[in-house]
Amino acid sequence: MTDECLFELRSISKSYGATKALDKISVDIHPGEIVGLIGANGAGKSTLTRVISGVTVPDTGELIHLGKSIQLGTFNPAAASRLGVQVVYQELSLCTNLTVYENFFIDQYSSLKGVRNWRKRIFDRTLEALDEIFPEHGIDPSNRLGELPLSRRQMVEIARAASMRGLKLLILDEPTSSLGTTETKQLMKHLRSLAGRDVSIIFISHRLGEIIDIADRIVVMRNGKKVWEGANRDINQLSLVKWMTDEKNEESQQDLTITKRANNYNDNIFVRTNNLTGNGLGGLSTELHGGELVGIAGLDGNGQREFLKALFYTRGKSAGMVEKSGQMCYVTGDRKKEGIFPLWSIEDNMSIVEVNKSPLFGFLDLRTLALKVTLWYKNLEIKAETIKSPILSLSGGNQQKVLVARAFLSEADVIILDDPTKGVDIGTKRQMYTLFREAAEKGKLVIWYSTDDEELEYCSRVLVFRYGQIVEELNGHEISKNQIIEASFQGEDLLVRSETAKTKKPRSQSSIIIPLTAMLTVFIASGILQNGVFSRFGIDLLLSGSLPLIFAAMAQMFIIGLSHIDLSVGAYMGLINVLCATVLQQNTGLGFALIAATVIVYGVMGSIIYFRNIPSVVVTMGMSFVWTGIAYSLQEKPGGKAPEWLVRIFSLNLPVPQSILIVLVAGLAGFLFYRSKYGTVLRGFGNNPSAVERSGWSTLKAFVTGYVIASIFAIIGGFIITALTGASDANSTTSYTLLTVAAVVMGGSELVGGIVSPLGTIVGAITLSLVGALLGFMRLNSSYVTAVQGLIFITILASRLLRKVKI
Amino acid sequence: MSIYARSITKYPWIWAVIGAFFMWLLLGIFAGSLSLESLVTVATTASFLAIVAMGQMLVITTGEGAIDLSIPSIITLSAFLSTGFINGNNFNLLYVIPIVLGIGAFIGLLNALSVLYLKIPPIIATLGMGYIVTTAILLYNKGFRAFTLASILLHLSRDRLFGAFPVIVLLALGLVVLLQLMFVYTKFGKSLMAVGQNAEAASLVGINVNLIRAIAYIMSGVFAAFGGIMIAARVGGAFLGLGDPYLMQTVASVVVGGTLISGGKAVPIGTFFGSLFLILLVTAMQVAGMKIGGQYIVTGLLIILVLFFAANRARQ
Repeated sequence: MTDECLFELRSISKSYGATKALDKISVDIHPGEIVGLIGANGAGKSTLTRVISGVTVPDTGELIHLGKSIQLGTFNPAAASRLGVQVVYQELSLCTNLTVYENFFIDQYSSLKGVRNWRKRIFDRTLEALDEIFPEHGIDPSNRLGELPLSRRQMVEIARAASMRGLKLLILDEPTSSLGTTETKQLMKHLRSLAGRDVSIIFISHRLGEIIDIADRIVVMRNGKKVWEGANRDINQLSLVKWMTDEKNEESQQDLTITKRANNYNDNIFVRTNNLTGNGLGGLSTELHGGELVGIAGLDGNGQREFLKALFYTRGKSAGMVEKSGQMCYVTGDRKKEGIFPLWSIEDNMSIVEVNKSPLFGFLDLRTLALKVTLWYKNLEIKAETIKSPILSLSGGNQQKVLVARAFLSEADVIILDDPTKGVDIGTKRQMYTLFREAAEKGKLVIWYSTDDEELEYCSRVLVFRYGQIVEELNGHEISKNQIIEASFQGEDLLVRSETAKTKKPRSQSSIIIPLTAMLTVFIASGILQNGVFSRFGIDLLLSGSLPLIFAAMAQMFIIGLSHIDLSVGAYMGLINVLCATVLQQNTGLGFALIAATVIVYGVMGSIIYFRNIPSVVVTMGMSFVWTGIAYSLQEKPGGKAPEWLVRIFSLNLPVPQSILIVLVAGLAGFLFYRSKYGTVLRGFGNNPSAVERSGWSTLKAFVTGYVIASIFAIIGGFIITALTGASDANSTTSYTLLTVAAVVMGGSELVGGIVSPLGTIVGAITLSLVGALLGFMRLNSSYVTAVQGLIFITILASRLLRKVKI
Repeated sequence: MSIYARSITKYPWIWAVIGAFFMWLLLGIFAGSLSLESLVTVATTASFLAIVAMGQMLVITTGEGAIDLSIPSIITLSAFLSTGFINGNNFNLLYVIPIVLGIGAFIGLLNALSVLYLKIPPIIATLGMGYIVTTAILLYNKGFRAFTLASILLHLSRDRLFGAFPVIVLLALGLVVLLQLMFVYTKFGKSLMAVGQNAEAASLVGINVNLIRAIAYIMSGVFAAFGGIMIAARVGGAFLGLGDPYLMQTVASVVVGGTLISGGKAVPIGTFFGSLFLILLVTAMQVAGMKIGGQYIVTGLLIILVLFFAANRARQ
């Protein structure tokens, strides 16, 4: 451990509205040292991490690397990565549709530039990294990440960050939360070895025992400041807890003495749980009465939210384990995600809860509603222009007030509060405390989960959670912030470190069987009806007829690989068809130039979707009309003539039927593309774009690339149609669009999630195309084609769903 | 906020109205004469579209990329069923119309079940349903005879009240008023918009999210069925592909009218004026002698432009 600092944070401050996440904090990180960072909820640990890793720009302060000050304006995750900073976040940033080693690649690509045999290399490197850190891990790097249980995923994420070439600083945020005992020990051992190689480590955890064990130096944070720092041998767990709690009350919460604790509990048992298990909860049995203000406490993420939701939502498994009576309402602290209705006014946001009491199509008494709402609006002193102002114009704290007002407006018997005072100013908080207490006094049951332990001193009873169970119950005068904090760290023995669960069986292989079966069925049926089908000529003919749809479907596949949909594929192919038989035939140069222009437009379409965040469905729907319009403008009625050279290319006499060759090449191209470096990245974007972007890839580039490649495949399809028909018809391909979606989905790809199968897509496209021929052989009206195609599509979809449900 | 953004928030239908007005002027310029009559004629055609577009609007409002691709086939099916069974006899209307509407509702219900319980994305679910309905049409169409239209339906779809107001326009406007009232004064209307804005929050407030969504799909089916009956009467019969143009047109009407494609905000009056604007645009282009190709290009670009400017969650 050298004396020179790797990173220095000098007087860093960061505020989010009224909350000071970091308050002029200064920390040094030396090479080769393990720093344990601890603090209670909201102390600022995550924000600090985000500042060092370039995700968050601090308001003031300096960040110094090896003696040089860093330009904070341009310091982003990519820059941090170049300095050797790697972070393992609590929420995993991996792509579930990619294999373990492909996930490694997404992050470590820079060291593989120009390497040809990269798959083997990264596979070996992945295995090496896993072996080095977690011996006997039992993970096969070629498993899809989605098939691994959470603990193994966490191991992958850790190994990936820790094995980064040029690693200088590794930040781990609660890395052991999902790991088994063996793996935790292995990780600690590896961290020490890294430190020995001069890598710095910041280890964030609530497991004080672990931190004291592993860290050389410990930094305690509280309210955005550093309150203690020292060597691990100079401190023990008890003292750490003491430092995390507020000994000296900075804010004037002291004067608001707890005169009256909610203590009016009556005999109404509103909630009773019997051994409530599941979803991370381990057998909770408790009774909650009206008149109580029950606090739910403990370190964040120990089952509190799951408990609240289990009470609110009782369904399925938990149905027998939770008994409740009376009306319930839920106030969330995660406003944006599950609280506010962003387009609405304050009034509408509040009144919706009253509205809920009426019959579905009954006439609402808006006047009375407005009165009730205004009452609460005034009650809580919500600061806004008027009650009809849009909710988004309010500050976070006032938005929260609206949510709380909503709960009280509903006159429910049970009020569940999910960290309602997060990010709210002190004045508002006090108002809310009074409200909660009064509600309890009126006989309601108020269940209050808070990450601010001090608030819970208002409660009549506090249940402290750890590892999904209640580790301590504090009543009346036992309740104090310090008691709560102490209790929060207890229950280590409860940690049931399960043996790392078995890996799920891979299912990807089997999903090609069904479309393959369908294809063969249609083919054989055709052959039975028409012998000629089973000949080289017959196969060639049928396959040639399928080629256009095959290429269109592959184009669609690339778009679906990004989790988008392209409703313009058919129209686009029609346009290419027309261009070929008109402009291209007459003037090759101009023809190709125009076709190239359309490719550019396709790319622009992708970028519009990126920049404006518009759903691809509608943009491509609009674009399909533009393509069709251009096609019609060039050629109103079918006609034109295919270029000579094009027809010649597609009528070569080869030993193997040309159509088969083309299909093989197309399939190979698709397959190879997705197995290529960038193809893998694209698949990653279809699954977890923010994670891939964090590893340094450009989302814009990915979108544009995907769309451009799609257009190229569609162009080939257009060429083929031209060659096959010898002419052009703008209308002939309009039905393709929806068929391409059907083909891709039938072939085993998923609409969302980046799971694509080039082979399956081809099989799906062939199947749907063959239907036309089949019906011809059956002497059936060609208008039935759509119906039969639809039937096959639905059958395959249904069978896939049934299999999913069974699993 | 720009003037555009402010006006669109307060009066989301305003641009559709302004657009319709200017399009009418444009039409007058191309036709060489500005007349109320031309507006009324176009409004008649637009009303059929508007009725069906209301259903699309409801489904889109449920949010999370929902869209109803089965509308065209429901229209065609209803067209066939109604002309076939009514067979010119006014009394048959009494039982045929409820049945056809019921079938539309049933198809909507199947859509809802696929999306909500089988968890199939709405695009795929309604696409698949469209295929099934098309099959049904083909099976029904096998033994077909000539069309005789019921006179009541003819009156409704073609005639005017007091010689001035086309009945169908009044019907469409009536529907607009009903839906507008529904959104302001009923729990369903408010709940639908809540669900489209934030389904999580809606369920935490106690709204039965699945029920609300299901009703939206069912209503879309009913409107499409009703539209199909009326369109068949207007057009004089039923044919395959009758409903196809309505797919894009319903989405365009809804989007131009100010309803958010991301869900959570429905503007019935905007959808009506959006339909009006669209048909005016098409008519104007036709009268101006623009070839069909040009018309398509303009319509397509229109949708993209509207989306481009309306997207209120642009990437930062």
